[in-house]
Amino acid sequence: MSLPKITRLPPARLLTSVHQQLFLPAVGPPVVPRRAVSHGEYRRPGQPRDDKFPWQKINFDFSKGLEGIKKHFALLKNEFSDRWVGPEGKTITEHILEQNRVVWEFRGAESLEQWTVSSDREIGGQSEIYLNLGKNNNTCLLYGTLSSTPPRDGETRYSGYCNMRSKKPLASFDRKKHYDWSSFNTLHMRVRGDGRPWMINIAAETYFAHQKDDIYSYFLYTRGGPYWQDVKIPFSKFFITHRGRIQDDQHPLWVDKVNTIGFTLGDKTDGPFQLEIDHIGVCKDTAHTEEFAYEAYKRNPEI
Amino acid sequence: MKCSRCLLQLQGLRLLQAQLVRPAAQPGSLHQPSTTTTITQHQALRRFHGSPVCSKGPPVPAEFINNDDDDDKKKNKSLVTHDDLFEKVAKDDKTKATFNKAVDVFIKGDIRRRGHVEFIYAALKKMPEFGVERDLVVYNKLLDVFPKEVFVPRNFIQTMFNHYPRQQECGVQILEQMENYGIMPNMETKVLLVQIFGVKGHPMRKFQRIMYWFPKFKHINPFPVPQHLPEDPVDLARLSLTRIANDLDANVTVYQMPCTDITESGEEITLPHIVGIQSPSQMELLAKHNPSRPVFVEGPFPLWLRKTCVHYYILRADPAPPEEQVEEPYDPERCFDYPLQLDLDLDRDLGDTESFDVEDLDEGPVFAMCMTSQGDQTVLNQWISGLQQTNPILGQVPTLFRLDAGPKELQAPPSTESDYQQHHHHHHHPPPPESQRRESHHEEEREVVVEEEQRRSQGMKQ
Amino acid sequence: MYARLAEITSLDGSIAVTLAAHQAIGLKGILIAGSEAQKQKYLPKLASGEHIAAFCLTEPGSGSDAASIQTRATLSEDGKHYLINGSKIWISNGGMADIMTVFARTEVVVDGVKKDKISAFIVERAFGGITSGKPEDKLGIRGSNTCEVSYENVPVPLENVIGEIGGGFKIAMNILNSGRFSMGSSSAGMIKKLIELTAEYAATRKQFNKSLSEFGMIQEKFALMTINAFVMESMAYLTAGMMDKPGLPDCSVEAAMVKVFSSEGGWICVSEALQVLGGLGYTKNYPFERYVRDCRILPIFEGTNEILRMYIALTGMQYAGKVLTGKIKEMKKGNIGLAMGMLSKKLKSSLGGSVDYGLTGKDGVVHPSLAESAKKFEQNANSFGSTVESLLYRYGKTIVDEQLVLKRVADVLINLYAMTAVLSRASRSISIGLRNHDHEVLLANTFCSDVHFKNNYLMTQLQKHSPENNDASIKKIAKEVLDNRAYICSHPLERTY
Repeated sequence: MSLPKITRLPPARLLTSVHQQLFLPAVGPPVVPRRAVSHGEYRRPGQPRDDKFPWQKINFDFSKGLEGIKKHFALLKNEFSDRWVGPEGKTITEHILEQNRVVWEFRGAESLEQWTVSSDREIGGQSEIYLNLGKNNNTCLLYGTLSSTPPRDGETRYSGYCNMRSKKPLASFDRKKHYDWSSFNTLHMRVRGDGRPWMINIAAETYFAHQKDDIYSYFLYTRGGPYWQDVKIPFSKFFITHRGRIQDDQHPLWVDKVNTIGFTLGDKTDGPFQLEIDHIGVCKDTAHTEEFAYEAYKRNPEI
Repeated sequence: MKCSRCLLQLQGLRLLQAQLVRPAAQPGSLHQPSTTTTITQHQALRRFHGSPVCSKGPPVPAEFINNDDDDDKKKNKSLVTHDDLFEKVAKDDKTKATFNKAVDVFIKGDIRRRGHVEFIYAALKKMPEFGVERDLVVYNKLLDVFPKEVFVPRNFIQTMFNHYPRQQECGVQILEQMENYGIMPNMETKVLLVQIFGVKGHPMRKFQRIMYWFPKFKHINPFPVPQHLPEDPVDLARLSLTRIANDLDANVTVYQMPCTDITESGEEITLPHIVGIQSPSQMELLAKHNPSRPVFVEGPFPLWLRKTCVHYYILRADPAPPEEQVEEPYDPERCFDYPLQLDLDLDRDLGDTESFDVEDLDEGPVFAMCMTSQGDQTVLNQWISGLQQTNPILGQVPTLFRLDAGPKELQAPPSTESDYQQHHHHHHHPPPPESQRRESHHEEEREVVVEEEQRRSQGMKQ
Repeated sequence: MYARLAEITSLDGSIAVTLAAHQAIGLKGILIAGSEAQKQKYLPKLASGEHIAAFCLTEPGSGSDAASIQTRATLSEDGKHYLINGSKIWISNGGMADIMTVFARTEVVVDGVKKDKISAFIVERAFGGITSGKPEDKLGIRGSNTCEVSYENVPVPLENVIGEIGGGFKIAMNILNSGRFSMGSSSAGMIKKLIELTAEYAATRKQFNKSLSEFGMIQEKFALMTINAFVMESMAYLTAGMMDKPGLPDCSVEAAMVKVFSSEGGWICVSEALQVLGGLGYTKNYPFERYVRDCRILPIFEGTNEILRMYIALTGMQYAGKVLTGKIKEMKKGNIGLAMGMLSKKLKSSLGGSVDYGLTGKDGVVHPSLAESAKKFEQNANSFGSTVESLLYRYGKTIVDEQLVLKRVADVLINLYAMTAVLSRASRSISIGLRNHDHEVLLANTFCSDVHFKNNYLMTQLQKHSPENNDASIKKIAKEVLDNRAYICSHPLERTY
C-alpha cells in the first residue's frame, strides 16, 4: 500500500499541503488489509470501515416518499400563489421599500431545523457542540466544549473547531434557491456570547467547481455578560477565504445570491463555550458608504 | 528528482524489513555532502525515517560535539535526537535563556548547520514548553539558524521550480507558528528572510501576507482584552465586571478581600474574594421592583478572557406579567414647551422604519453582578447582604438561589424549584424561564445531524 | 408698548433682564390668570415698583420636564393653608423679590385616581420660611440677581392659588409663551446702539491710509448687523401688533420664532461687532465684551432655542397633520387620481411655473419694487407646503423623534416669518413714504434673496435620500462618541507594526 501512495504524490504537494505526509503506514502486525469497497477515497485512520456495497446503502420507505411528495407539492403551490402577492411573496411596495429584514429568528423548535452543527469530531478530534433552544424557546443556544488536541492520525497538526451552519435554502423538488440581499448592506445580529471570538462565514453561490469552498468571513467578538449584544457588520468587511485560508485577491461579497451563513469557533482555547442568538437580520445603513474594506495590492510587489 | 524518488523507495523497502534500528554505517556513507542533491537526499532520508515528532538525526561524530556536553555523550555513539539536545541543555529550568543556549549549541556545532531543518522543527515544537512561543526575538534567532545566501535562487529557473523546497517549507512553518500565536514579525525578520530565501520565495510571500492582514485585524475587537491579564483575582474580577456591565456608570465594590483565617480550632479557612458591580440605573430598577415577587441569584455563567475563564453570578428578576406591566399613558402636561406626542393618526412609512420586525425579548431586568472564587450559597448571601446596604428593598424581597453549571449533556435530575414555577404555568405568557438544567430533556431528541464539513483552520495560504 | 420700552432698556442687559423677570414673567401670572381680588391686592404695588416679582419654576432636576418637579404643596390640617416645601434654582430677582409665582405639585383627584398635578401659587416673602441663597456667579448679566430660593413649610393661604388647583401647567405655558417676544425688540435696540458705537470706531480708525469702513469685510459686517436689526425689529413689532389685537390671539408660535431668530442673530451680530474692534473690543475698557457676555444668555433662557424649535415645528406639524391626514391616507392606499394630481403639480413646478398667492401682480399687496422678493417668498412657501406633506407621509406621528428633521422645518418657518415681516414693513414704509424707505427696501431685498437660498437648501435636505442630508452619518458619529464618552479615533502617531 505504501508504494502506490508514494508514487502518486507530486513533489509540489509537500509545500502546499496542510498536512505532513506520513510515508510509512502505522506499524503493526502485518495484516493484509481488505480492500474497502469504495476504495477510491482516502479513509482517515480512526474512521470505521465502510464495507457495504453501494446498492446496499439505499433504503426504500413508502411513508418517507409520501411525505416528500406532500412537502414538495406544497412548496410548489406556495411558489405559485406567492407570485400573485408580489415578488418573493411580499407586496411590491414592501419589496421596494424594505429597510430591515429578519432572515433567521429562533422562535420555536422548527427554526432549529434550518441549521446543522459540526465539530472536529469528524476528523477525529474531541470537541463537541450541541444546538438547543434557549430559555423561553425564544433564542437558540449553541454550546459545547472545544478541545484543540489534534487527532492522532499522524497528519493533522491543528485541531479544535466547532461550527454551526444554516442549511441551503431549497425550493420545491430540492431546487436551488438563494437569498437576495441586494438592497441591504449590513448584517445585524443579536447575540449573547461568553467573551469568545467567533467567525461568521457567508457562502455565496458560485459557478466553477474550484470555488465550492469559497467562504466570505469576518470576526464576531462577543462581550460576554448577561446583556444582549447588537452586532452590525457591513457586508463590505467580509474577506474571502478558501478552505479556511485567506486568499490573495479579494473582492467584495455579492449579496444577490447568498446561500448559507455559519458561525465557527476556533480560538485555540480549550474549554466549554456558549453562544445564544436571538435573531439574524439584514438592514440598510445609510451612513455606510464603503464598498470594500480591503484595498488591492500588486500581485508581485518588489521588496 | 526521479533518482531521489527511487532512492526513497529503496530506502522504504529496506526499512520495512529493519524497522527500528538503522545500521549506523549507512548514513555515514552519505556523510560527505558536497553537492546540493546529496543534501536533499540526506534531508529526505531523515524525514523519511520517522515522523517529525521525533526526528532522528545521524549520530553526531565525537569531534563535532561541543565541549559543553556531558562526557558520556562523547562515548555514546547512539542516535541523538534534536529533542534530546533541548532536554539536556535545559535540565532544570526551561526558560528563554536555556532555549537560546540550546540554539547556540546547534549553531556553533557545525558551520554547515547539518540537520538544521529538523532542528528547527524540533525547536518549534519545544517552544511552548520553554515558554518562548510569543517572543519575536526567539523566532528571529531561530530563523538565524538557516545558513544565509545558500538557498537564494540565482536565476529565474531556480525561482520557478521551488528552490530548496524543504527549507522553504521550514521557513513557512516558522512563520505559520508566528501567525498562530499572533506575533507580528518585524524588520529583522524581513531582512533575515531576504538573506536566507531571497525576495521571491514562499517564506517571503507568506511574510508579505502576514504584514498585510495582521495590522488590519489587530484592532478590530470592539471589546479588547489586554494581553497580560492582572494576576490578582480582585483586579481580574474588577476588569471583567466592568467589561460585562455594559454601562460606564457602573460602580465596582469589593465586598470581601481574599484572606486566609485561622479559626480557634486551628483550621485554616480561606475566605474568597467577592467583587460586585451595580450601576445607578440598575439601582433604580431594583428600587421599583415589586417586593412580592422574588429575585433570583443565578450562576455561575462563564466569561472567557483570552485563555482564562472566570465565572460570574447575576441577580435578576423575571419580567412582570402583562397585567402588571402598565405603560404610562401619555401625559399631555409632561413638557412645558412642546407636545411630546402628536395627536395624529398617521404611521411611519415602510421606507423609513428602522427597527426590525421581531418581537422584543424581555428577559427581566438584571440588578447586579458579582464574581467570586467560591460560588456557594453562603458566599453569595454575603454578597446580597452587602448589596442590601445600598438597596434596602432587598431586605423585603425573597431571594432564590439558582446555582447550576450551565448547559451540559449529562445532567443531574432537575432540582426542586420553588412553587413559583407552577404559578406561572397559568399564564399564556411564554413559559417561565427555565433553569438551564432543563436542557437535559431536549438533548436526546435534539442531536442535530452532523454533516461533513470542511475542516476549518483559520490561517492564511502558505 | 412693552416692545418700545424693551428697546431702550436693552442697552444694559442686566437691567433688561431684571425688568423682564419682574414684568414679563413675574407678574404675568396674576395678570392673565389671577382673580379680581388677587389683582386688586398685588398689582398696584407691583406696577409702581414697590414690590418686585419673580417667577419660580425651574428646579435642579427639572428644566422643561414638568413631571420631575419636586416642590410639594400639601394642605395643612386646618385646610386653610398650603405648605410649600422644596427649592428652586436660577430665579431671576430671587434675592430681592417680594412676590413670587411658585409652581408646586399638589395631589388632585381625577376620575377617582389620585394624581399629582402642578398648581400655581402667589407667595409673598412676608409669609416666612423663604430663604434665598447667594447670587450666582454668572458669565454675563452679572447685574441681575439670580439665586436659589428654598421653601420650608411656607404657609400660603387658599386665596393665593392662581387659577385652580391642578391648572398650573396651562398657566405656566401661557406665561412663558407671552413673555418671549420682547427679546426681539431688545436685541434690535442693542444692535442699533452697537452699530452706532462700532461705526464710530470704524470710521475713525485708519490702517494703510484708509479707514476701516472702506474695507469690504468690515462693510459686510455692518451690513449683516443692519439687516439683522431690521429684521428683528420688524418681526418683533409685527408680533406685538398681532398680540395687541382685540381678543387674546394666541401668538405663541410667532413669539417663539421671534425669540429664536433674535437670540441667534443677536449673538452673531455682537460677536461681529467685537470683531470689528479687534483687540480693543476684547478688553474691558470698551463695553463690547460685556455685551457679548450678556448676549450669550439669550439663546439659553426663556426656553432654549432647541426646545423652541421643536415647539415651532411640532405645533405646525400638528396643525398640518390634522388638515392633511385624509389626503395622506389616500395616498398610502395608492389612489390613482391623487397620484396623477401630484405628478402634474410636480411637473408644473419643476418646469418653472409661477405660484401666485396674491402678493404680486396687478392687485398685489406688496409694492412693485419688492415684487422679486415676494415671488421668492411665494415659491418658498409653496415648496414648503409640499415638503411638509411628504414629511408627514414618511414619518407620520413618529416625527416627534426626528429632531434633526424638525430643526430644519423650524428654521424654514422662522425664515418665512421673517420674510413676511420684512416685506410688509418695507412695503408699508415705501408706500407711505417714511424717511430712508429706499434703504429699507434694499435691506428687505437682500435679506429675502439670502434667505430664499437658505430655505431652498434646507428643503432639499428634507427630501428622501437626498445626498445633502447627513443626518444618518451625524447620528452614527454621535452614537459612537457618546457610547464611549470620549473621542475614539486613534492618535495619528499610533503604529500597528
